[in-house]
Amino acid sequence: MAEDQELVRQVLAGHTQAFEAIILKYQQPLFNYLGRMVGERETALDLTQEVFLKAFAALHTYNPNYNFRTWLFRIASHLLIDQWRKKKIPQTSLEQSWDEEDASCFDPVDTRALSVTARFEMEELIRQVEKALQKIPVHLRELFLWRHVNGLSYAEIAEISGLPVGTVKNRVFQAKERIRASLEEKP
Amino acid sequence: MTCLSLASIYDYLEKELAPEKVQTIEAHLQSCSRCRQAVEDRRRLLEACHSLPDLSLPPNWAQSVMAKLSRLTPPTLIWLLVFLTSSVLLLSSLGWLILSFQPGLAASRLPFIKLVTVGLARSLIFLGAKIILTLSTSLQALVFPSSFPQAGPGQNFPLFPLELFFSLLFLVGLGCFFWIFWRNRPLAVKKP
Repeated sequence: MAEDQELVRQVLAGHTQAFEAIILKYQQPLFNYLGRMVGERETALDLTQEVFLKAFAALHTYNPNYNFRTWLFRIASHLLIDQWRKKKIPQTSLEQSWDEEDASCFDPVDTRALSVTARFEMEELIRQVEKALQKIPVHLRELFLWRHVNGLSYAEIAEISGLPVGTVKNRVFQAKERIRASLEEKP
Repeated sequence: MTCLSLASIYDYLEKELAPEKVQTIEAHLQSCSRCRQAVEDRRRLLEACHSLPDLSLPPNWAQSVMAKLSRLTPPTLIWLLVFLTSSVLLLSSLGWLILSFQPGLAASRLPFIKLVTVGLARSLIFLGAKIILTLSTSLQALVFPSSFPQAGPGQNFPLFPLELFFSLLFLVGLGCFFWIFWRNRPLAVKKP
């Protein structure tokens, strides 16, 4: 985190090239997130680039007391919502309805099938998870990606999304159980 | 102890629990095969989630973004100089043009601010017309000198040279302002 603040300080002092280190550090996490949110490579590349351009233009507004990574992901999330609202990218997933109480995180284990993942080799399981991910609503997918693909903490996700930590945890839980449920459906 | 909730299984696997809670869960897992199976199942699921491959970026992608950034980056000192110069050009030419259009104002001994505001109010509408007239007449004199008796060969250029100078100054100043605005325009969201 201190490294990010130092890079930001250098860019603001006029050493624009320091921004390349920021891009190199965050291009992959942002692209992994945006790519899986929009499901289209070229669109995701454009959006990732736009996030960096916006971040660069707004760098003077960044408060160094906060986490730079969460600031960057917040820009990405807002850009995504903006693009969906302007209907510049397909929003089929956005229209999927979902029920907060769909799966209760307080259910005891014996109410579900006990072993689903054992049916797949790990490589196949990863493929199935990737497919299932595209079927879950974007509200859940976004939080899931931040947690399990980008490795953010629940507190960081709460900071980005503006949701309480408890809600974030519950939604990430819903996402995982939905993915798992879709594996159950596989023959 | 009753069987584990799914939430506590995930919390356990994601190391989100206090050490005492972890001990309690591990003690329960020793004796409950159903919970052990459920934990193992979610462990594999999380392992798969964490192993999702990176999406591949084009080579040298960061450099291509940097190239776009460099076009948006104004070198501060140069931009400041351009801004100050264009401001001086714009204001001096505007002032001269206004006063030349309202010659009585200069002699009116009004305070400076009032002079400028009154001058603007009286002259703004005609200012554009005056600049166009000055430039078009000058062009006519240059292209068709014979049809313009005042600008014949061997004569000094008699066509209100100061007005022409200040009109050009005004346009250059205006151009600089537009250029600055264009280079520093807010970053538009590119249509994907």
